[in-house]
Amino acid sequence: MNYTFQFGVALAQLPELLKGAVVTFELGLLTFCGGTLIGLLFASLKSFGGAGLRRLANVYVIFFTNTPALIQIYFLYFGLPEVGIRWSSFPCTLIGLTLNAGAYLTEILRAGFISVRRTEMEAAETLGMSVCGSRSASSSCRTSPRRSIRRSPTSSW
Amino acid sequence: MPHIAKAIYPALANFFVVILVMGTSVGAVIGVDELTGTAINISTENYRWIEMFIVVAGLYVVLTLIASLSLALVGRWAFRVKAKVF
Repeated sequence: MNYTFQFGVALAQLPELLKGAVVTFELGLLTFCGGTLIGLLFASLKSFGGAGLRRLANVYVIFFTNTPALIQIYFLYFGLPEVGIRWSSFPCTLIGLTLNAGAYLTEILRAGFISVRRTEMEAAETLGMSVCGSRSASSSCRTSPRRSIRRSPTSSW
Repeated sequence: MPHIAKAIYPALANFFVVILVMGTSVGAVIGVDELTGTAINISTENYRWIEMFIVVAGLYVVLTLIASLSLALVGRWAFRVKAKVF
């Protein structure tokens, strides 16, 4: 085995690769944003929705976390043209990955919703906030009791 | 809401990196011109697969480091998540 490495050839293509890296970053960012929106929607459905909506969210999560992303993208790219929907490769990847990421992010966000203690929700309710309002009230960020308990007076901030 | 943000921010940031590396490279199979796809295209022309993919691996590491560094800074600034990059 005598293989001479020639990195010059590869490094000469660096501009092309960097262009590819930008596309990768773009794809990742768009996927993440879309996935977070989907995740937020389904996590709220799963946490606060009725039985039907909860089941819908469950089916979505189970379906998309238990099938590989590659197969979902193949379905979008090679399967959908059969029924007349034709997308080019970038939107296909974007949509496939977004749906896949949305399922995982649903679970991550739901874990976040669960992490709020029941007593805290009751306290928020006592203060006159609705379930949605107490979750969107960020004005209490700096003075919330949980932080002040956790932080000792001797800490630097 | 602030609690939730603080609790799930590390998981979210982690998942972003997972998407960035593992997710997007899947797109190369159906011909998206992202990092892996570009590398495959170039390698089929000049047959320098080993060098090309070593360079690509390096680029992915750089990309991931940039992403995780900026996410850690955002987390520290916005949610006071004590994140370490290294």
